[in-house]
Amino acid sequence: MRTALVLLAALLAWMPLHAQGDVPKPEAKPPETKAVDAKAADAAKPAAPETKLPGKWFALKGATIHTVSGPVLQGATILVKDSKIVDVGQEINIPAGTEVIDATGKHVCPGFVAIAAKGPLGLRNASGKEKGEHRFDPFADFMVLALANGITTAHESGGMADFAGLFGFSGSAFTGSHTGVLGGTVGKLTHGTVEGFALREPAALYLNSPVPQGGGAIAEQRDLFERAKKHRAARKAWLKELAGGKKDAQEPKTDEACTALAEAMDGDIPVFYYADNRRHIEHALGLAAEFGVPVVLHTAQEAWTIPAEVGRHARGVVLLPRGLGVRGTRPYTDPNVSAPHGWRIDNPAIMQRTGVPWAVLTLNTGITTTLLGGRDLMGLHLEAAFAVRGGVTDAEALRAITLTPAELLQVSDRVGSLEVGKDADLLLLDREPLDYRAFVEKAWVNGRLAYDEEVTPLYGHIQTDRRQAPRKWKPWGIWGELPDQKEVVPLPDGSTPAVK
Amino acid sequence: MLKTALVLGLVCCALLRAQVGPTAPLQDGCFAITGGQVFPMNGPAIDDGVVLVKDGHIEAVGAKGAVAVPAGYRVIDASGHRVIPGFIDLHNHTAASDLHDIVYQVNPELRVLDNIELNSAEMRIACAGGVTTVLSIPGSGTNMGGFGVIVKTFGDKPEDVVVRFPGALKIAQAGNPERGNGDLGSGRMGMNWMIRNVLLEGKAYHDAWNDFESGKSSTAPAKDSRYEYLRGLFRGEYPCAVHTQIFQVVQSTLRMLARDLKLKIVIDHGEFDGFINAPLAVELEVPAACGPRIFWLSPNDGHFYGLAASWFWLGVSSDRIGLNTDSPVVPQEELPFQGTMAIRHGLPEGVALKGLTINAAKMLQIEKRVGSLEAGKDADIVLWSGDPFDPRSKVKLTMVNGKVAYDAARDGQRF
Repeated sequence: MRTALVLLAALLAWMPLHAQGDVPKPEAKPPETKAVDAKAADAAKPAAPETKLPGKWFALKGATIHTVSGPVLQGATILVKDSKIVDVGQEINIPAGTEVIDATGKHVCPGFVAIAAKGPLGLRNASGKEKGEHRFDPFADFMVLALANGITTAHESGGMADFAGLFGFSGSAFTGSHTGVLGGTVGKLTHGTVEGFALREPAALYLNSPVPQGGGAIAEQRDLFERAKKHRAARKAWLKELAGGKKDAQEPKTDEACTALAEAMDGDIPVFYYADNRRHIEHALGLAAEFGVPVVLHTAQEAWTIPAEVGRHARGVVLLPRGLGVRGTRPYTDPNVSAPHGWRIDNPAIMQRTGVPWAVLTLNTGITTTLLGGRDLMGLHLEAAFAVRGGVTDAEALRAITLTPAELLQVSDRVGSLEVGKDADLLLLDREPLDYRAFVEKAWVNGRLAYDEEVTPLYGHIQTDRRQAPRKWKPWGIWGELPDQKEVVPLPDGSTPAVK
Repeated sequence: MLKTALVLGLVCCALLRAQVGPTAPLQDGCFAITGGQVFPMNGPAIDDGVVLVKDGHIEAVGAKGAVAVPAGYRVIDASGHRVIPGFIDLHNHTAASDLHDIVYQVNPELRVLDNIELNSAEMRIACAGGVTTVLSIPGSGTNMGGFGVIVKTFGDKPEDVVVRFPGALKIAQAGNPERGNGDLGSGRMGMNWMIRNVLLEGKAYHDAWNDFESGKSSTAPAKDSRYEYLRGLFRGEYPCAVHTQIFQVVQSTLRMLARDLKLKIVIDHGEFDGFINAPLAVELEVPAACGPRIFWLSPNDGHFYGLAASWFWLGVSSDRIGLNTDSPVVPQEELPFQGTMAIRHGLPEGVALKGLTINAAKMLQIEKRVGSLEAGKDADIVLWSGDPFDPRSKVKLTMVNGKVAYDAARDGQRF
């Protein structure tokens, strides 16, 4: 491990300086995941110019590369060996024998990270207690649909891989209780193979706000925090006794949620706390501050009302830039309430300005092919675009679907940005990532091609440039070929499109 | 800071006005929108265009050099913005509607006119989303929900907001109004019979009154409120908004209502594989308004087919494509997002913009009042920060009937 770090440092020194620019540097890394791929060490070695390269190498050349952790690089190249990123920059050495893909005029960015999701990993069997790799279906349709829309890592809090309700947000992806549930999986969409799938299991401890249930539940949750605090102290004392040579010292035991919460107090496991309105958020923050638990607030629709408090006591928030979007839940004002309340389009922008890490949740936390479009995980990047409407920059919004969720899930040492030594989870896009017309042309997971628009027949027929006739538009066998399109429709500005 | 500057600016303006006195008084209801890229929808976009508004109507539209700003007009700076007609939703349930009165299976006697809710939260946020006109109709719980009303999304009195009543007759062909237990209306046979039967009764009533009014018959038929509004339908004064989707059901709609009964209809929803009827819709000159669903994943070849795109690419004219939200299923303010998704799934951008403006106006037969920026039309104008279909773009200002319904600087950004 140490050798790997030294080699990485050497490589960073050797690399051209492309970490300059006006994009802020990434914050200190959260604790690393328990299983770090040892291949990072191999990948970090600069390749000698020899004809027969050890390992599998490829490079995307000439692209606009959105590194997320650093600046956007124009006309840049990213070099991958096996499952890891070896180099990224405008002037890098590509060893002979590397497969070079011309990406001129295209965009490359990290695969998106779907936080608090449901479905893209194709996990089956509902108990949620079996290990993810035993429930993982590497050929799940939902995974293909998610990959086609840019998701390469997903956090699933458990349950069946089905889709959420017609009206968007479904609480079912959040399997918390006010006394805590430990579980879920952070995994990769390694379509076609189980290898390299798991990133973190169990993913997190989930807590619901007890406030809606009232007194008894509030007391029970407080009791959980008190017990976790005691357990943490007892465990520390036990470790001290062990270190002091007292071999028969009794290891303190308690229930699973309490153990996890004690670990969370040391930052070893993420805590997701479902808190939507201000009262719920204030309650969560009170416990977080008193017991030193770095909570991630889930939904946090009214976080904008108390941003400073959220920034002081929460590790971050996952929120819906567009709000809940069902009749009655998206008022901008309720004349009967005098305090600041409700949803606001600038909730993410206020978090950004306050320095609160925020990640994007979609209205429908699953994937649906038959219900409403653009409100589920197939529109994660579209949801992020609504945060731009609310006042953040494109770069900040892209971070909220890549590096920030990776950080909140404590897997950012592996995924979320394009940096040397990180996993090669990349998207090749025909337009910039937040453009609503952009499509993923290819997606790699762990350096392996997991989705190819030309091979998987989901979107390949839609002409990227909609000024032209589509490549193939034959939705039903009975019509044979597309009728001759008699119309050339002017662009919105009235100019005549070029038709090929 | 900006706010202070703005306030100071306004104070200065007020002082100046007071000092200058009668030389340049601002006239109520007179606006000049200048400096933006104007999309009139009856011709190409005008860079650095001018739109003059007077007393609720558009007075003139043209390039900076061609249209002079008269003295006394309040100037709205649209530089860096696009100036676009307010968007029109062809299928709404939130402006003026109870969804259902499930007493009879067909209800031509019902109307939503009396339910208009003025300046509701939904309509205020609709303005912030650039939507200025909606057709509000009853739900699809019965085969004929009643008569809808076309309303503006802003206005203080019912007479200010109503564009036309009846706006359209709501027919739900199938796929919701089905009854259970083998009752009449459990299947498509019964539902189709009921729709056809009540329309034929209405037609007979209309013909009888026509005969009386033209002198062919000397006895006046008895007035029947159940059929009274159907008369305008047979005169072609307003269309049927037909909830219809799926190949077989859309075919029934086209054949029964458009071909046999010769009614003016709009295919609402038009979802799933309904677009396979496109050649028949072309033949019968029937327009299609797609939504709230946006695409259909074909089991035939595994492709995502955009719905509006499919109606279009399979032959329907770019003048006959529209989009709808079915608000509240998709919130009213997200009508432009329906365009976003339609374009993403293959609809040319130019068709999407027409679909939300002039096409929708034509489908509802209100194109003399709304849908484009032309002299004499209602001043329903929206200033967008960029491409209205890009979710990153936002509305700076919305004008309805020549009144500022939403101003992000004044009201705070609502959406």
